[in-house]
Amino acid sequence: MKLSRSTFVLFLTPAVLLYALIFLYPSLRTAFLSLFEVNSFSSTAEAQFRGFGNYRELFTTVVFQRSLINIALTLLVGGMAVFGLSFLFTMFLTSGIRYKSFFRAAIFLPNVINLVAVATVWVQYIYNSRYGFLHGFFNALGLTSLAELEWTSNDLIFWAMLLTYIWVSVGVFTLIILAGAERIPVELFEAARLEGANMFQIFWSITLPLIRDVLRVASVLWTIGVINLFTLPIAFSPVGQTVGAYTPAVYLYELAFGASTGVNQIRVGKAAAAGMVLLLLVLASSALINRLFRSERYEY
Amino acid sequence: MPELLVPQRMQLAKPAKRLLWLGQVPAYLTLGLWTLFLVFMVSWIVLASLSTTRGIFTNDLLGHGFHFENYSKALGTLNMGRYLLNTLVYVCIALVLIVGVSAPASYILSRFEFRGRRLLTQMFVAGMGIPGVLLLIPLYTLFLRLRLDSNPLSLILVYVGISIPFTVFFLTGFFSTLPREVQEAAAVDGCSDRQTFWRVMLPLAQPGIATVTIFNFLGLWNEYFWALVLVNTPEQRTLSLGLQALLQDMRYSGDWAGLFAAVVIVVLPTIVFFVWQSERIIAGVTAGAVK
Repeated sequence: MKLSRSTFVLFLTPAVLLYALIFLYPSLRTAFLSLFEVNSFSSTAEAQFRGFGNYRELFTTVVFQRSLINIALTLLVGGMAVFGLSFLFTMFLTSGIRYKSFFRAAIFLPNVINLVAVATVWVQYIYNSRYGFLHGFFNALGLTSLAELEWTSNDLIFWAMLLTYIWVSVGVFTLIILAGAERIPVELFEAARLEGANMFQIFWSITLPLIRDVLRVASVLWTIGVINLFTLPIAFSPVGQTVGAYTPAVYLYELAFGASTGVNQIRVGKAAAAGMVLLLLVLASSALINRLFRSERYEY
Repeated sequence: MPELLVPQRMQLAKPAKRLLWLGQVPAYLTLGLWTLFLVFMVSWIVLASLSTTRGIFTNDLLGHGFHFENYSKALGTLNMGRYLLNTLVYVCIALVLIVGVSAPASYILSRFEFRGRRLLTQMFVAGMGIPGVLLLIPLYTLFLRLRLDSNPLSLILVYVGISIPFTVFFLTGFFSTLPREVQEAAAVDGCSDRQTFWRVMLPLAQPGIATVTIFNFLGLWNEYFWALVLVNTPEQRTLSLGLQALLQDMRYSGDWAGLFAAVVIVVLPTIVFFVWQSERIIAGVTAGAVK
């Protein structure tokens, strides 16, 4: 049918304009700002050109380095845990058990709960060393040394946060991988079972190769989510501290707005540089993942 | 009969019942443990929210009866009621605007050929991967200059903006599944292109719009970053900010029972919503995954 020019413009302009305002303009401006020394939001006019000085400084700042290590750990260790559990759950959910919808919903539920609430519950209840869940659990098992662990101490808080993040994320990734697995024709599985293959063999040799595309999408989603991690670290701070474990996004926020502990000086230019680094990480990892998963499509 | 139309693709053909059951024990065990943990956690929180702070610390929940006043205190003195209202207002307005802006654009992008269409579509999709923190500084500076830096309007604007890429991505996919004949029939009947959209295509797109609105709702209801930047004052806060502020206040107040009551207030809407719409939500995630 014929589309009139006015309708074309009317329908597309609001979205495009808003997109330009929220994404295009800020991205370009941040890239620009990252090359300057800027000390406050209102004095961007007096910025001094620094070239790549902000970037150099960024990579030699201990907190930033630590934050990069944190997301690398989260990406790899957390990724293995999340995907491992997702595979496991997918395997279980497709083995013909009853109440499948119920379990599926139960697995996904943590993902819809407010992250601040999740962090609060885990820090104040699960990890609490006096009356918390793990405390009681380990005591009941007689593992008193484990029960006394200070999960939210400086040494352990990153791992505590990682565990919580894994718990929250498993749901989404199970659903995604499950979706991919359920597209595989049932004849393949029946043939395998007739040959005597067990649950694990079937998963390894049939399911896994045939869900490559879905795995690619899932990997990109996981990576982008980890790189941009902001809310959980901030909400995971025990009472009296600002941040439990740093991620680049949190560090960026503190650089731009200052913080009561940790980063003290507002460095908007450096924050912008951090933002560009994050963007670069997202682009690089997406490209890498797409390359890793490039393969001919299986016909089935 | 639904079971025939949507076969359980991975059901076994004719398994021996006992062998099947044995093989599924690990499955039931693991899934059962997971669910048990969830139930235990939620129960404890609810019980704690109805106890006293002393009761919590001495592992003696509900030892002194049900303290429903924790909730009235949380809603009133601790301001969770106001935060709830704020969040409701901001999110609902944003949800309507998101659809209003994205649906027409998705319609055009999915059903009409024009130069630059591919580029435009890819541009929107790319927006899904752009880190929010990258946009922070220039947007905040902009709002600062317009004196909108501590204003719900700017938050709503940002909420709409950041939701466009996903919504356009989703709705474009959805619109492309709608039959072309309906569109042509409407044209034959004398509808202009706008009327066709408004009277015919949009109603047909309701399931897709409902699904994407649910996703946007969940994302925005639980949003933290932009709310922190743009509306972090006691009058304007959202639930996420309110809870975090309450948590930091624990330093002085030590009202743990009240804290858990606030937690329940924050998560109850989404849990209820999720239970009500779980089929649709899960179907949406599933559909998106294999697109």
